Amino acid sequence: MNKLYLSLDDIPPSRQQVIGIIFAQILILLPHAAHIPLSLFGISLSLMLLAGWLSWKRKILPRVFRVMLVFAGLAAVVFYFGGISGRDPGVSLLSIMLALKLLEIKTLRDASIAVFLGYFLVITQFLFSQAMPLIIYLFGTTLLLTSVLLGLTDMSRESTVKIRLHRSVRLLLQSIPFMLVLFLLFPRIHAPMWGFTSKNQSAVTGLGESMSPGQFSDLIQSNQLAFRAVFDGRIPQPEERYWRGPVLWDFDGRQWTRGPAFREPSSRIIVGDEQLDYRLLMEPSDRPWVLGLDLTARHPGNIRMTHDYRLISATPIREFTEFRISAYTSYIAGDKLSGEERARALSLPEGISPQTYQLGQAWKNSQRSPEAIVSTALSMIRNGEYSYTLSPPLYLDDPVDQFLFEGRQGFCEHYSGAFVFLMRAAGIPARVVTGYLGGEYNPSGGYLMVRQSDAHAWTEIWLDNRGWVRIDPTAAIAPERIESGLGDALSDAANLPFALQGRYSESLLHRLSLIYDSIDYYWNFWVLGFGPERQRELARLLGLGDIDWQDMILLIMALIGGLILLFMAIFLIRLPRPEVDPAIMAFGQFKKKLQSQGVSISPETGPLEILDRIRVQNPQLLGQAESIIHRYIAIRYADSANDQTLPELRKSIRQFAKKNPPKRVS
Amino acid sequence: MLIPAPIQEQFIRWATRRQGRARSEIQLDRKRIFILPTRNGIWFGLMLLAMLAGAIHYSNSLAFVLTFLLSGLLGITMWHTQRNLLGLRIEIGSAGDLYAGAGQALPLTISTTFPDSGHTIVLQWQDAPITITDSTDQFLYAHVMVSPSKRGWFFPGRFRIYSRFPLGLFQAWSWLEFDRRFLVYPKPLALPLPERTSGDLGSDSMGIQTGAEDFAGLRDYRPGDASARISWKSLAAKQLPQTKIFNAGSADELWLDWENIKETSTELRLSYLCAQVIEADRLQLEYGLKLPGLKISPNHGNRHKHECLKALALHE
Repeated sequence: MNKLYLSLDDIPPSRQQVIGIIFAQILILLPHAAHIPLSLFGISLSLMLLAGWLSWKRKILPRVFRVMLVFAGLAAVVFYFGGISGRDPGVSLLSIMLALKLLEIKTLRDASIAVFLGYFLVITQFLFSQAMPLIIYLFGTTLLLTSVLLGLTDMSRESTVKIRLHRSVRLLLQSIPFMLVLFLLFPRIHAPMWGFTSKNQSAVTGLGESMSPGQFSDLIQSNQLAFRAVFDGRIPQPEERYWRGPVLWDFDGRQWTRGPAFREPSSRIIVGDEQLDYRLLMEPSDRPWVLGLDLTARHPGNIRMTHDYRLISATPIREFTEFRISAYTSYIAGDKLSGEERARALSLPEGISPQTYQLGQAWKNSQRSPEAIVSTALSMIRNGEYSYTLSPPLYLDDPVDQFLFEGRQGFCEHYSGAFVFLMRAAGIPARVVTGYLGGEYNPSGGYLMVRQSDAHAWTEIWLDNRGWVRIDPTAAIAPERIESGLGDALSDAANLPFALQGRYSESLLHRLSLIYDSIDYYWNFWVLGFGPERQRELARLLGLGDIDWQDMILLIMALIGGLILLFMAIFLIRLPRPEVDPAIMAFGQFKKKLQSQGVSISPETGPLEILDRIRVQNPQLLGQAESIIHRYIAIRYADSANDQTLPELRKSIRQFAKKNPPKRVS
Repeated sequence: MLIPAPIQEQFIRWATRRQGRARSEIQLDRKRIFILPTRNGIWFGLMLLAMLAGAIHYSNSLAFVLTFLLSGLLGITMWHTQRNLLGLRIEIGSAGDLYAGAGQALPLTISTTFPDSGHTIVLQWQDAPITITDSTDQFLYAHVMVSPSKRGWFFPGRFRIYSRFPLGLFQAWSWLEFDRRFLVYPKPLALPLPERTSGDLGSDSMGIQTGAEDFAGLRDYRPGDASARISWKSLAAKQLPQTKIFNAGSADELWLDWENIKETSTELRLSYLCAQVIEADRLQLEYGLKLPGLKISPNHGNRHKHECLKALALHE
């Protein structure tokens, strides 16, 4: 330090320190490119680059400009979002304000505050994505930020980036025990603290609320995970793996939709004896749907069952969420059909698909039983030169007629849609059910993985005394779809992404991906999904039973106290190897030698006093002793010693009075 | 410091009782070290609270992880910061010439007991500028700025030693009070040297004979002789240092006299005399000093200079 400062806070940070902060902040900001509006991201990034350039040039923007920029930044956010509350506006504003803070780093205190805001920016990333690579990246930037903060108080000349990183790693590792205690025991609650939750703008691929031709063939191209299911007992057979999503009642000639909600409660479910208990671990979908295995018997209180037996969560699923559900394997879904249901399940738009309608009417008039009509329809699909394909022709004029009688190529939405149309025309109440079919067993995690590519549509028809019966017309044309999945069922499987093709499932890559997924699963389950339930589970696992939050806080305090004691203990174990100035040590030897030469000195005798006594008591030693004492004074008091003085002192003490035999002091 | 002055006063009184009386060498133990969050530390804590609120609101596990990791960092930093001072041994050395009203450095020797304690450490005397040291070495000499305001015996009182390393979130500090006093010479105020006087105390004046001194001979070198007066020729020849002696005019003596300073204020008079002593010494003249009730006969050299300055410093 060349200049004089009255306080540490007044010291301006060095150029390297400021550039280090800006560099770390830019790294933290980068992933937000995918999260916040690109224009606002661009503003933050260019402000940060400006800050970097200015501090490189050792310049600072005039205050007026900075104030103007603050208002401009605020205005940009308000202009874009129409407000500043909520996640996305808040994060955008934070990014811009942080960038502006970087423009006015004048003292070490400003620099520290900028680092703190950087930590805050890290945490906002987690609100958008909790993907593993991002997490690793962000903890890397946290480490970098910590080393930058450390650099602000480390005035040592030897301190290098490497040393500071090393120290930061040590500090963060030492923080982990505290983090674990707090993470595991800090009382978790479910509900948001404030009334608002912001809407996730990023579209997540997944099931829609409606069904139109071509929709599913897009969806199944995605290998993305939709959810996982962990079964307590047996895992359902492939043909049992129907996961129920939106049930579609209304058809307008092109698109199937849910239609208005029903007023009456759903009719009763009559059940067999087997129940499968499982945990459903939903990936974020931004929709409230919970894809229960057909047919849900019990579900937690935070989700409800709709009239058509599907599960809806109270809030959209925006993060990894877990539900504990039971499903019946054999059941009769519904004991009676209400008038409203019957009307809706039979209604068809006027004048649409006349050919199909006439076929259905003909079956209806043939006076056959509904079961017989169903099997006629299925055998028509099975034997009518139909094919199951990912890329059917576009049926633009009349999707149902054109598919059934001309193109004869379709995907699950074509088959299910046409089948329900036929059934309704034949007077059998029917509806489309969308959801997922299948799921791959992950041997390393012991759970079923259901991907977006398992999306499927099937049908349910109403049979008196048998309730809603599932009929999957796709099974008639492509039974492999049910048995072993899409890759084996499609006539044109080669068009699928490689990861969905049949031969892929044999490859090493696939097995590795399963292992990766199981790691992801455990991470999700124990870290991302760590909430009130997992906390209670852990408490039970530790034999603490049902503890309330007061007890938890006591436990936290006890454990943290314990940790502090532990650190103290570690400190005490590495105890005082008292270090004495080597000059003092050497001088002590000299004093001993003097005593043995008959010079009377006590530990308190000062060096100049010693000289006086030698002069009186043993003058022949004076020459040697003088040089020793002068060197000692040079080292200890005068600060005029150089690197050689200490070795010289030691050497001269070693040689001191070597030839003189010790005298006895009488 | 964020603490109001009266509370600080109380605290210092309590702390002084706690750490006992002053001594020449101080070893910092737990009893002597105090620790509080810095203003930055408080900001950091507030930021953690905001982060926690966000984590709870969004039930975001990773937000919890980061919040708690940083909380752990805060805790661990407190421990490290205290440890920077723990076990340090501080000894005060002897100062160079101290003059009233001027900032000067007192040397402190810092030695560490614990191998990795003692990183960046700051020393400060009252409101004087801070001294920053990095004592990962086992020993180091720190020069702490002091600015004694008055001549005479100077008791430095409390020094503050503190550290904020590693993250600046906490400040651990201790007060160092040494039982040492330092002699502070008057503040020098420049004034031309007086004219030489012959032999007696009288004031009959003669011209100053600067540079016209007569070479009087050689004597054996004594420690304290100015290097300019060493006879380099004889050193080369006889290999024993000898000092040249001059006669500053055979009968003329340079007297720095209290009575000759035309000032009524004691302090100003002492200041002028002080400057004259320094100047006379710089010119390697023989000079004497006269104060009311004190007379130091003419001589030269370092010892003589300090004798004179001491007399000025302690003049009642």
